[in-house]
Amino acid sequence: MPTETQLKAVLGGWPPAVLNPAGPYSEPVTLLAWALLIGGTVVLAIVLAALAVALWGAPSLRRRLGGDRAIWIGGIAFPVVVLTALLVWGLWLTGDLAAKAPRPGEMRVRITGEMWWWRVAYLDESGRTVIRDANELHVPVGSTVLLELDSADVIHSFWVPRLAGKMNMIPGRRNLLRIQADQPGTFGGQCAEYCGGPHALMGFAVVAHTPESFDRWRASRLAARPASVTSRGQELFMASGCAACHTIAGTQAAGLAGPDLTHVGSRRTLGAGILPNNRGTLAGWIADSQTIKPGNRMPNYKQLDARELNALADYLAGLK
Amino acid sequence: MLAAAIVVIVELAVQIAGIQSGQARDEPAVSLASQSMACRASVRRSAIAAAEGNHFAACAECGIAALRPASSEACGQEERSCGEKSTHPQRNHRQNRLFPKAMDDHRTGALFALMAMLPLLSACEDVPVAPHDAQPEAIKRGRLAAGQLGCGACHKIPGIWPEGATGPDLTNLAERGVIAGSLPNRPAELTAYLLDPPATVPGTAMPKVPMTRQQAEDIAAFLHQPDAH
Ligand code: HEC
Ligand code: HEC
Ligand SMILES: [Cu+2]
Repeated sequence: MPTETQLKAVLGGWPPAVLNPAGPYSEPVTLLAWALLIGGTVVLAIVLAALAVALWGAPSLRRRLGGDRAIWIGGIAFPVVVLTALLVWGLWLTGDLAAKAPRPGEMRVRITGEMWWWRVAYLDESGRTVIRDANELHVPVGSTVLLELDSADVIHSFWVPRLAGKMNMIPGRRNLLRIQADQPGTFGGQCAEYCGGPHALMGFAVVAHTPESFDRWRASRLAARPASVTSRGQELFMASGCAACHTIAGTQAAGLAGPDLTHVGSRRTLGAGILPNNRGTLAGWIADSQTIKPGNRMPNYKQLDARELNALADYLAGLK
Repeated sequence: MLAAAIVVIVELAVQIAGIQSGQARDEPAVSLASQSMACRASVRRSAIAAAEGNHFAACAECGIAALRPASSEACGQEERSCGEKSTHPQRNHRQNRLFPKAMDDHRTGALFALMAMLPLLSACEDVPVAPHDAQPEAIKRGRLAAGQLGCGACHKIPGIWPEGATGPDLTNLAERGVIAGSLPNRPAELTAYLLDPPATVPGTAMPKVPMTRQQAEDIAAFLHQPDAH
């Protein structure tokens, strides 16, 4: 359906489709899910058929159903064989999904779950942060990316269904997850472990680029920011207290309580994956994020008048 | 019993197929009841005429004239569907300061109204009512565009998430006399407003949301549809 596709394109693939893999680390999960579902349906059908025979079947059939042999075969041998086969197959299929250590030259990104958004840090070989961002991950198509997942507060779960299975984010632990996208596009994610309040509105977007376009993206992020001319919007940003919670590189704003806004104008989404990003939604978010995402940790700014709100939105939209 | 189980299984399969193709969002059907559309068209026509400065405007559908003073305060007042024919004389009584007494009797009111309507029929025809001619396709595209552009961040719009409160509730926008406190509620004006609110209504709190003219026209068509209650 084109409409649905367009909607997903705009919202960064959120809410994500769950049974539509786009990479080698989600295909086995999807295959296993289908196998379990279909297998479970077949077993249910067999049980129901047996029940029907027991209730309404001919006496000879019912006698055979009630005998020892049926119990040995249907009640013991069948489950043992089927479940053992499933276990072996499942382990074989998903065994190499568990990431253990970075491979040489592999791209590494640390993603930290926060209530209710995601802090993103691109690391170099030695594990130092080189690019800071939030709520969005950029990856090149066709290469594996190692995600180091942790949490700043409670347990979250990182889940981009089209690229990988779920992985918990546990405070004080570093869980590794490997992903790879086989086609360019935007893939939606969602926190999959209830973390309080607006947990359901804790979305994420992975943007997969062709290798050339990824290199361009990376170079633009690494390039030093040209000193920006001070605008009314920037003044308002500093004067309204936004800088206490948000960082904008190249300005005095260095707060860490909220998402990094250095490149907020180029994000696909706002409010952690839930809104399209434009001047309107920026203004709407700043004025009244509590109606849009009830309970989130950014206060409403109802005291800003229309002109101030628009100046702020213009400033942020310009932070590409 | 077996049948029930099969129904459950089929339902489950359908649900799962739905999840896979990503049909998680249900799209509430837009009611296109032509009856009420025609009615609202005429009600709105009268509101527009009032905003334009016409002294009288006719509800052609009901054959009863809605006599209204041309003050903008009156056209901002709540609109009623002319489906409730009997409310017309009453409303006229409330709103028309020129002939309050004559309107007390339904029949007199109707007669008077018909008389008043005759010379004004042509004026009534002049007023464009394009949104109601809008293609269902345009309305569908409009609903999609309104969602894609995140209008819900500030407005409550039926069928669109979220339901923001920074701007006015846009439910039943078609029944409103004016938009943003000053523009006549017509397709062309609404489209222009959506494309660049601050340029159209100086000082308006609605920001300029980047969109194409096509998107603006589609959204206008969508917002002008009567909402399913
Ligand atoms: C008390 C700390 C705090 C203050 C002050 C604050 N914010 Fe935020 N802001 C947050 C948090 C936390 C989030 C993440 C909310 C979420 O998605 O759950 C956020 C999110 C945002 C986002 C969305 C970012 C994204 O990628 O989703 C924008 C834009 C934003 N804030 C702008 C502002 C502006 C402009 C101001 C000043 C008028 C401001 N903030 C003041 C804490 C704050
Ligand atoms: C930052 C919040 C914000 C966003 C985003 C926003 N609006 Fe508005 N809108 C407003 C405000 C505030 C008003 C009231 C303006 C006034 O009366 O001057 C308004 C007024 C309107 C009106 C006139 C309503 C009336 O009864 O007067 C329409 C129609 C409208 N908006 C449609 C839209 C559409 C369509 C979008 C998405 C493209 C949108 N708005 C996005 C804040 C917003
Ligand atoms: Cu959560």
